[in-house]
Amino acid sequence: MRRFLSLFMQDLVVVSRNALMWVVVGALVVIIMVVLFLIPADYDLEDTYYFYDASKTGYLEEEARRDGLEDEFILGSLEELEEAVQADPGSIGIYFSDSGERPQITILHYGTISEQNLNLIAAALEEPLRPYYDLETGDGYRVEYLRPFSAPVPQNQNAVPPLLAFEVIVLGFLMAAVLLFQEKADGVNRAYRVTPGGTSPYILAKGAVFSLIGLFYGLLMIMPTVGVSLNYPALILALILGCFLYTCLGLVVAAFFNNISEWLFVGIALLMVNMTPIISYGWPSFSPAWITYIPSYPIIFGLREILFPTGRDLTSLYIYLAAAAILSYLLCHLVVHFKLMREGR
Amino acid sequence: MIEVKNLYHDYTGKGKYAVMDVSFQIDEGEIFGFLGPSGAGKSTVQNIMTGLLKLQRGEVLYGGKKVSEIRRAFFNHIGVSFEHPNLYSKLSGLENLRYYAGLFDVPTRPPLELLELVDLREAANRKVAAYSKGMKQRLVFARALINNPGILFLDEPTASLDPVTAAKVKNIILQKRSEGATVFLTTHNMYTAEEICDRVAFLDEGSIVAMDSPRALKLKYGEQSVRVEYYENGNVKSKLYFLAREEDRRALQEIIDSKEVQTLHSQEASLEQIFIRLTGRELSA
Ligand SMILES: Nc1ncnc2c1ncn2[C@@H]1O[C@H](COP(=O)(O)OP(=O)(O)OP(=O)(O)O)[C@@H](O)[C@H]1O
Ligand SMILES: [Mg+2]
Repeated sequence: MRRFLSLFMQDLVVVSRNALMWVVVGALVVIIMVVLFLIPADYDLEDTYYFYDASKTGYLEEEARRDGLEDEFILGSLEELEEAVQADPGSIGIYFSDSGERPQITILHYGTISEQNLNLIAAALEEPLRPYYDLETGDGYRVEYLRPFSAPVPQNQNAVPPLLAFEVIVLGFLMAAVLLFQEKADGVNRAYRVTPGGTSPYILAKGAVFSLIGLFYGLLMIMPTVGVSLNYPALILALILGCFLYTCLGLVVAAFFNNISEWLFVGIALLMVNMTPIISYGWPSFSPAWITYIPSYPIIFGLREILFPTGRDLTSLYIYLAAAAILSYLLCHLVVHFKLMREGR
Repeated sequence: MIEVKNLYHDYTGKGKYAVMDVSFQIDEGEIFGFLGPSGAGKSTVQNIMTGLLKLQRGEVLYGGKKVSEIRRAFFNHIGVSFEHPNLYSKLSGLENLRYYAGLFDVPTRPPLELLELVDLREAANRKVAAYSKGMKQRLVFARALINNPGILFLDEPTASLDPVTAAKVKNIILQKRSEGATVFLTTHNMYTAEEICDRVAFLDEGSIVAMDSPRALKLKYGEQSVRVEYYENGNVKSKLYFLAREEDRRALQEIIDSKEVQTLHSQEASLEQIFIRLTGRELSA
C-alpha cells in the first residue's frame, strides 16, 4: 500500500507538471462553452418533413402540396414513411389518419424533440386542418419515437455522453502513453526494476491517477452542462471503470513503442476506431456487430442512460465494464511485466 | 558472499561475447573494484548481477542463492547507482528520493539527509532537468543509499565529478564499508580503485586479465618504468616503457638516440601501468 501510494503521488505530480494537462483544462472550458452556447438545444425546424396522408379526404396532403412540398416528400404508405425517416435521422415524419372521423396526427422521429418544438409542429399542422375538422388545440396528435421512448433530451446535452467517452475516458489512454514515454526518455524504469516495486503497483497507480483525473474532469464537464441532480453512484462507477479500462489499454499499446512519434500513427488510428460508435449514437440504425465490440459503444449508450434515464437496467453495463477492466488489467500486467519490466534484457 | 562463475554474455546472439568466462567472488564487507577501459564489459557484468540483464550463461550467487531465483524482496537489500543518471527530470531532487524511498519495505534514510551528504541540499527543490551532469550523478549515487543496502553496485560513481566531490563520494563509500556493506565498484579510474578498493579485477575485452589486492598486484607486476616525452614532426609524444622487458629497453634506446627527448621520468608502478603492461593499452583514451 505504501508502494502504491508513493507511485500514485509520484504519477500525479508528474502528470500535473505535464503541459498536456493545461491542454486538457483548456479543452474542458471549450467543451463546456460549446455545449452551453454553440450547440442548439434543438435542431432547426427547417428540417425535412415527410408526409403520409392516410385519410380518406387527403386534406393534409392537399395542403402540403399547396404549400409547395415536392412529390418526393409525400409518401404512399406508413412503411415508406418509416423507412424515409430512418434513412434521414434529422427528418420528421408526419402520419395523418382520420379513422372514425377523429383526425389523428402521428409524428415519427428518431432523435428527440422538445415539448416546445412539438407544440410548434402540431400547431402548424392543425392550422390548415381547422376548416375541415372540429379541433381543439393540442389534442389531435401524438408523438411516436422510432426507438424506445425516452424523455426528450436537449440536443446539446445529448452531446455530453460522447464527449465523456471520447474526451474524458480516453484521457487515460493518451496520458498513460505520454507518462510512459517520459519514463522511457528518463530511463527511470531501470531504477524501478532494482527495487521491490513490481508490476502491479506500477499499473494500479497509473490506473488510479487517471481514474481520479477522469472523474473530476467528467464531473466538471457534466455539472455545468447537464446539471447537478445526477445519479452519482452510477456515474462515478462508470467513469472510474471506464478510465481505468482505457488507462490499461493505453499502457498495453504504448509499451510496444519507444517514443510518442513512433506511437502516434497507431495510437491515433486506434483512437479514431474508438470514435466510430459515435455514428451509431447519432444514427441508431447503424450498429453493425463489430462496432458494438468497441468498448466506447456500450460506454456512450450507458452514459446516456445514466445521465438521461429511461428506466433501462444498467447491470449489464457494469458487468461489461468490470469484465473489460479486469481483462485489460490482466493483459496490461502481462505486457508490462514481460515487456516493459524486462526491456533490454 | 557474492560469487560470479564463468559468466558469458552475448548481446548480438551471434557468438560475439561482450563478457567472456568472468569469475570472481566478493567477500562481505569488501570493496571490489572492477576496472577496465570503455567497452570492456564492466556495466554488462553489473547489470547481470542486478538482474537488469538476463543471465545467459554462468552463475551469479548471493550467499549461495542463484540470481535467477531471487525474489523481489532481495531488492530491499541492494543499492544500485547507474552509469547514465536515470531520474525523473520533471521532479525535484527531493521528490525523486522521496518517491523512490516509498518503494522499499525496509526503513529508509531521510531524503534531505542524503541530499546533504552529496552536497545537493541547496538544489533539493530544483527540478532534475536543471541539474548538471555531476549533480545528477550525485543524486543517483545518493538514491542508491536510500534503503541502507548491504550490497552496493556502483557504476562509475565518480565519473563526472570534480576531485573534491569525487573525494567526498569515495569517503561515503569507505564509510559504507565500515558499516559492513559489500561494494561492487566499476570504474576506469585506476587512482580511485587504488585508493579505496580492497581487491580489484582488471577487465579487458570481456575477460579478467588479473585480480588481486592493489598491493599484491604491484608486488607481482610492478616494475620500473620510464615515461618519455619527445618531439616528432613538431608534436610532443609520450610513451611508457617497462625496463624489465627486452624489447622495451631496445625501443627506449632507439628513441633516445634518434629523437629529441624532452623529458624522461622514471615512475613507480601504479595500477594504471600494470594494466598497460598486462593489456598493452592505456585506460583513459
Ligand atoms: N545493449 C547493448 N547491445 C549490444 N551491445 C552492447 C550493449 N551494451 C553494451 N554492448 C557492448 O558490450 C560491450 C561491453 O559494454 P559495457 O557497457 O559493459 O562496457 P563498459 O566496460 O561498461 O564500458 P564503459 O566504461 O564505457 O561504461 C561493448 O562492446 C558494447 O559495445
Ligand atoms: Mg559502463
